[in-house]
Amino acid sequence: MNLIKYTGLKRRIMDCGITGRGASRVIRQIRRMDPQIKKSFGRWYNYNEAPKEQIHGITFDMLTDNFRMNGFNAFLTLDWLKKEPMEAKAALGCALDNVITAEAEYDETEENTSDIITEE
Amino acid sequence: MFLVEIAKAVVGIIGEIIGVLDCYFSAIAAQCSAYCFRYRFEPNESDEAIAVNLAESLNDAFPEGIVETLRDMNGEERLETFTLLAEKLALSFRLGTDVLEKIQIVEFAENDDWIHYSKYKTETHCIQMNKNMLLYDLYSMEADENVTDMVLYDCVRMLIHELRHAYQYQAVLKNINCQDYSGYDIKGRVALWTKNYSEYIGSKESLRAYMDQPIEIDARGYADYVLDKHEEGFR
Repeated sequence: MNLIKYTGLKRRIMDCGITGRGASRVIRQIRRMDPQIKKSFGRWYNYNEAPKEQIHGITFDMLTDNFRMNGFNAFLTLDWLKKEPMEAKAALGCALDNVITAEAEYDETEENTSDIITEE
Repeated sequence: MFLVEIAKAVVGIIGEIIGVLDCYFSAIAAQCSAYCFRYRFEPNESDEAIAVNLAESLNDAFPEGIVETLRDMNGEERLETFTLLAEKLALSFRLGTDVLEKIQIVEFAENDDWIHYSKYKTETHCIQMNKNMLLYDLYSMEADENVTDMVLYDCVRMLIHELRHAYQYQAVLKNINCQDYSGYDIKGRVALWTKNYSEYIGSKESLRAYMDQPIEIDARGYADYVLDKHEEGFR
């Protein structure tokens, strides 16, 4: 079984410069990942094994090297490529911007803080 | 010297990104960009009126077309043209002088910002455009012609995109009188924007969540809508 501890996961996401609220959103998306992608994610997270397979022509390494994504965003994007390839591919071709805004307070107590099993 | 190194690195990154896209799916991406992200933007009458003014400003600034005009300019001319264009477009958007004074063309720092074309800061109402993108091909003699054209076009696209963010935020702050609008569902739209501005998701966190936000869909859709109107002038 490959298990990911919630607190450690949240801390590592926040180490990538993501806010606490953002990290919670990322974890929610990880829980909903395609089972195969989630399995790869668990191996990358716990054993530092980057997946080599292509999803519609895109690999994990391309997303982290060429698109400068952190590993979490890269896995979420691979998951998107698998579920909605047309939309995800189009998004990768779009110019990006950033809106800098004061973030509202949020209630952490409503978070699902259970650990994540990525592989039985 | 340091800035030149950063600029060269940016050129490399952009080249790599577009190279990857080009290898795998450039044609598909162009098609599905229109298909996936435009259909959710529907202009109301006010949007259309402003878009007509914006398109006219673009026609004045780029009589030969955006890419054709910018490509032949040197860096100084490009920056000057872009600065004047930014002021003109902000006026067409009916944005106040507090926004007009805060459109800056600057070098983005050596971090995740590299790949961003632009920024909008809600607290200061400041728009920043990435100078490295506007001068992309001038930093490298090896810059591919197609990539250069795409980047230059995207610089204008993202300027309109950021001005639309400024416009959205003025609506959120109620500085724009929504009673003037005759379009449908304007109140619903501003409510969505208000919520979105309080919980914005950056592309660094999740590309998908970033793309799916109401304010990003609207800004992207509006910029494409204006550019389509500008292109119509050449048909």
